Amino acid sequence: MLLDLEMLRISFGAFAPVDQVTLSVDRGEILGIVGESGSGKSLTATAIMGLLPRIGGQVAAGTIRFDGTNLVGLPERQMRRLRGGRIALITQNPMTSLDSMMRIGPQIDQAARLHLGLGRSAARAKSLELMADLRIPDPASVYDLFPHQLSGGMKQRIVIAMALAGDPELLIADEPTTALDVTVQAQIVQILVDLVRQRGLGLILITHDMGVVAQACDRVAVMYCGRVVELAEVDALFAQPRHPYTQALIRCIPRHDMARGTMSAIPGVVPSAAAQPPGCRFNPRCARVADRCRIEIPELRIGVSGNGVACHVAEAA
Amino acid sequence: MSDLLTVNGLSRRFSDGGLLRKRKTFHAVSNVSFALKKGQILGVVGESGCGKSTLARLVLRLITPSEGQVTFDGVDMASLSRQDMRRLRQRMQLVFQDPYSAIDPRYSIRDALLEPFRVQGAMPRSADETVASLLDMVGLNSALAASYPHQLSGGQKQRIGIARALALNPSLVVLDEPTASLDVSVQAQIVSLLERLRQDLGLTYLFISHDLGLVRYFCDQILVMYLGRIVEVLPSTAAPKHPYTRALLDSTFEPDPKRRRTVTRLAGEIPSGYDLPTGCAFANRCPRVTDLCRRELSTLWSQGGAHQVACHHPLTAAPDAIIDERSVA
Repeated sequence: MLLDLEMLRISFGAFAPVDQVTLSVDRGEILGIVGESGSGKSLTATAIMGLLPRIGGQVAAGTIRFDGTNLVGLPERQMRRLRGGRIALITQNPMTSLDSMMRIGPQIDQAARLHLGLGRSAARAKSLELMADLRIPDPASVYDLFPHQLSGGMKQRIVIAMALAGDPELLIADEPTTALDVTVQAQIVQILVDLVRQRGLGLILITHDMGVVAQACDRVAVMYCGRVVELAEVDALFAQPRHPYTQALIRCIPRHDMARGTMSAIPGVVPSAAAQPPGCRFNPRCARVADRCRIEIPELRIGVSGNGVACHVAEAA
Repeated sequence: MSDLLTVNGLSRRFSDGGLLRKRKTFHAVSNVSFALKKGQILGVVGESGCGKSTLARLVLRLITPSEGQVTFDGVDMASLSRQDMRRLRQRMQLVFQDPYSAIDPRYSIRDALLEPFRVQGAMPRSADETVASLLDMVGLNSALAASYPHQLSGGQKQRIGIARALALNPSLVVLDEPTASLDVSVQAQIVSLLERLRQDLGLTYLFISHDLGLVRYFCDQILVMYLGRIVEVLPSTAAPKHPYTRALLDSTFEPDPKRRRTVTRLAGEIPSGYDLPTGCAFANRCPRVTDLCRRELSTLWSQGGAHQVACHHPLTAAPDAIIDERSVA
């Protein structure tokens, strides 16, 4: 396994917004992490990048194994060598990754110079090649532009080029297309899928969009309130979703072939980290809730197939 | 049924520059015409910069058109005095995309819901009762009246936004991406609420969205916009005939891994609305482009029934023949 998370618990003081998260991604594989706001999917990415201390959090329990090395407790010096190099992050808003005062090209060069030790001209050549790979028209002129001169879709391609410049083995894309128009979203998702297939990268694709999951991912972890509630291979997840939350999430996507009035909603709201219900965190909104669900937190049990569900009712069925 | 709203040849241009820089004109909305029947839901769909939000504001006369006419219930809005316009505004309301900034954070929910009455100078006799019934109408507990926006979730805030829009019993509600900033499970709640309210109160909706899937589910008819122009008037059950609508549909990922497809990838992005080409604005991205398209703009022409398309070479084949359903892997 390229990356292995086991029983990860993230804490901010007394709160643990992420708990018991177990998931893994291999080389050449796309793992989707899907969930609504507050599900802990971005915090999980932040933990993998070793950036929790910067936002006042910490890994309270569990392990994050990258290529055999446990990243939890790894000295910052060593973490810094991995970050942006063998492990790279693509964020939702390209402007959080781009320096608006600096030309595009040198920003892409940085990772190759820092992590691969390339000289200025070698790094530039590599950047231009990456830009061409990402179908950025006329790379040589774009290289000298400033970020504000580019469209949203082009900026996101530049951010992807920056992430690739350090020859990463693991790429984490946190809602990479949420800020983009649909036609551009389709282009970017296609680029990410091609990268994984061609370069054998491991990709963690974090999204709230079940359509993107269905289109791009091999396996999926569904998160709710800081826990993985279902882990499954993508075809199985959509053909036979087992967790009531997964089922509800798939049902509330509007499709044109649905008659008006037939789209079902999930009642209630995602509870805040400070007001988690006892037992299964989905129980107040669950259509199939049993007495046990209100008392005991179900554990994610992963079978031999690699698929698993954290639900008392689904397990009994 | 009669038309509640008719829009005729509506355009809006914005200019900037002038003193030191060369004057540039941005064509936000160009020559848009449509009619909206009472009780109907008309969708407006397009990507960012297509002019859909400008169109919403033109319809409500929050900005004045450069050309064209908006008639609401038989009254030409340009003919109205400021006072009459304010009175007419009671009957047309707007729900914003971002419920976080639509409500003044210093207002309690009660104050926010009473604001429309205050603006119209017609406070209800029993304010508490009015607030309670408005909250009840959008499925919220009346105890929320005393709370402040920051204490509410995004979905609750959007319900407040809807309640406030409905406070003065409007006929037309313009919904500008009302669910774009919400989680999907909450989006479904809001859409169901809007469906129920339309039936109960006999409302007419102009529903603006970038999500073709949602619009096809929710609306009776859809206007597809590209760079300020309507490129297709699509009955929601019909198969799209404009290559842009087709591309929008192909770019929408269906939540079904069995239907993975190599998207007929639309090259490039939307050009700027500053220097519009003489011909079709979609020509530089269109797979069916010919010289004619670059030279001459197609007007909307009928495809049978209400279906209209502004394209010299509309798609004719059954939609499934066009979808390329190869696996991505």
